[in-house]
Amino acid sequence: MRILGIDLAENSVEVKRQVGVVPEGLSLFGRLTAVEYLTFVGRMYGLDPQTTAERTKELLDFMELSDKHKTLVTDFSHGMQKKLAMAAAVIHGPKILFLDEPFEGVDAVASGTLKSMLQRMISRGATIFLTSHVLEIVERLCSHLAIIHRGRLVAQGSLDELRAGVEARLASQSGVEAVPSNGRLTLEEIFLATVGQSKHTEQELSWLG
Amino acid sequence: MAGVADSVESPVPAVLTKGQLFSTVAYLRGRLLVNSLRTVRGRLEAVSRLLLGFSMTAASLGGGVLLAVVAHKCAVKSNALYLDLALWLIFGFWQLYPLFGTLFSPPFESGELLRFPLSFSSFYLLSFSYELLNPVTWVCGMWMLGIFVGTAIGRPLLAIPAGAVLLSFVLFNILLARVIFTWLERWLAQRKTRELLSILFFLFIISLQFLGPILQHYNQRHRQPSERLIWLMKVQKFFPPGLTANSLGNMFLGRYALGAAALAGLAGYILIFALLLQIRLRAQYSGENLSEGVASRQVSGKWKVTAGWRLPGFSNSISAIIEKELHYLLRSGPIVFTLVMPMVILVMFRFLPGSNGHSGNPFRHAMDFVFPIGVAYSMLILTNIVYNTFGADAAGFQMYLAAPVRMGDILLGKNMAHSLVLVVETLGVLVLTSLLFQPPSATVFSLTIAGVLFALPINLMAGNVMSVYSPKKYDLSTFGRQRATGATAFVSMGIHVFVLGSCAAIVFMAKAAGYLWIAIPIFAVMAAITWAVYAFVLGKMAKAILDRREVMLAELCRV
Repeated sequence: MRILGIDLAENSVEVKRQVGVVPEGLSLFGRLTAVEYLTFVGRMYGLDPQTTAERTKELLDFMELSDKHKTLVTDFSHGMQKKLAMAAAVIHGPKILFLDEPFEGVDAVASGTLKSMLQRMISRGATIFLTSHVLEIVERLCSHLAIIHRGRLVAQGSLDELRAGVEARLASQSGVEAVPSNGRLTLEEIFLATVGQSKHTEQELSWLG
Repeated sequence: MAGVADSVESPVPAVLTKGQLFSTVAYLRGRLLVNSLRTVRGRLEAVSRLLLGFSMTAASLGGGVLLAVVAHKCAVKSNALYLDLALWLIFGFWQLYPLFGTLFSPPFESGELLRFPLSFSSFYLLSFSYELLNPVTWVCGMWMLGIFVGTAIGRPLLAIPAGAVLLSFVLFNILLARVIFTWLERWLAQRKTRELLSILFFLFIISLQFLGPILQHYNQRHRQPSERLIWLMKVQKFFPPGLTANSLGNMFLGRYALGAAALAGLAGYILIFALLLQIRLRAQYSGENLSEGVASRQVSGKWKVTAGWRLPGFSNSISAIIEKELHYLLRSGPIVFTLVMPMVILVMFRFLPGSNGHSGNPFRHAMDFVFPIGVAYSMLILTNIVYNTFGADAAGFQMYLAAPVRMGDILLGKNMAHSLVLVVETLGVLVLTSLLFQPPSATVFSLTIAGVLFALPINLMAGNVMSVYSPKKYDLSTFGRQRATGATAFVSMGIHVFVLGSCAAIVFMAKAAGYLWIAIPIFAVMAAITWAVYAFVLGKMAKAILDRREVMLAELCRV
């Protein structure tokens, strides 16, 4: 497997230098402060102490965590931990970023901060792999999509390509052109059509009126 | 569907009466108990509780009969001195026994019921009634019943007033236990107060170890126990057990006004603790926020980030790992507590009776060997962190996999940090040994250092292997939990027996031959061999970690 033209098996350390990761468990060290954690990560990625210190300050200011720089990570809220994990993932300026559910449990303000940072990274040429169950976010942020269903990759391509494929399939099944009411299939509709499930019918509970 | 149809007609349910509330909560607890029997573990727990229940029933019945006899004697002889002692013992057991179990278990959530529409008075009563389900309340209640029966048989005319006094004492104890639990619940709900409380608790336990030697030391100097006892007897009368006994004693003697005054004092205590309970429960009822997240605030002025450590001779990443490890260890109350234990033990042995070099001192025949024994103990203490080196990192372990650093360097950094801790420990032991006992001779000092150089790489090497093949996630902030798997504990014990045994054998043979110094070059040669093996094994660990990363991630990232 080659990433950025580098063989992963032969030179995994060099590949890792170009990659940033925010895994599901966030990989934080709870009993360090935010500053100590970013300093540690920066130096583990080979940054010299001075550069690490400068970027740590800049990242904490950007993530609006500078007022918590002396607080232990374990005392952070989930949203703050997510922002810190994201800061740690980009401190070394990676060319590829892997994010697992980056907006889960994050409030609207923090979410806006993270999105603006990701947009800037994309505009500078970085590639971001992002997994999410919130399809509206994926639809808004991602240029290319892959749908995994029951552990198997069942579709991939740009949003327009996936939409065209689903529309063509629906049309062939029903015999008429499948045009949704608002004119375009949403990603949620594309997803449901791809994995072969329809939306739940609204179930009524008698006492809720 | 009638129920549903009814509820459609009356969508707002009626307010629960106290009776309905208690029966609902009783149903909940009953179902929880029955459902807990579904698993083998639950059934085993039920059996153990049953056995505990039998032993507690026996203790409560036996104690009740004994106390009935004591109370009867006191009532007949109109002297409440033994009752005083009995009430203090009951009070101590009632309040202290449940505490020992609480600090190690997660806080119980009495506030769970608050999301339901309860009135404050219902919540207060419910909280109070929880204490009635406590087995200790039953045991102590039986003992108090024994006292009542004994008193009533001895002085039938005083049965009602004595019953009122004893019932007040029971009420006080239930309230106090509830107050302690609710406040503990408050403190245990937050990490900082929880850790502080755990440290204070363990300091208290450790201080008990010093109590015997200090009391003996004190008694040798001052031999006037009678004066202190008289003073103590006077003071205790102002506390609830003393007030209860005082009230009963005065009633036995026909001094009813004084008896009533003591009872009023006890009622005062009841009122104070009822209010304290109300304050705590009111805060819970009002929906207090015990979130550990800190409120956002503006940062005043410019703040700076200092560059990390630059350790001479170590790469940037290894320096970072050493810095991180030391931050971690020094922020953990339990670890710091464990690390100072060798020093505490040395101080404790110094205060043993006869520690000036005679009868009671265990080192009296080998004062020169206090230093090596202290250092060996320090090394044993490091087992906790060395043999499960990724355990405290938990999900942070993923960062090591993602970082462009060789796994060998990560382990080396951790090993160096732990070795640094041992160096500091050794210095501490050396200073205390020199101050409290006697400085080690040059030969003993040298052979100890050579012995450490031989033993340390073996432990680091085995620790690295066990950290990879038998990892266990643990929380550095908790006391009293095993920090490694059973397999690791078994292996580490075997290695310690081998290493310390061989060191002791070499020293013993060298001493017996009259050439103690010869142990130094032997240890030096063995150290050179073990360091070479350590370096070889360290080089193999990177592949082992990669091969076992899924297993390690599953354990270390476990929620």
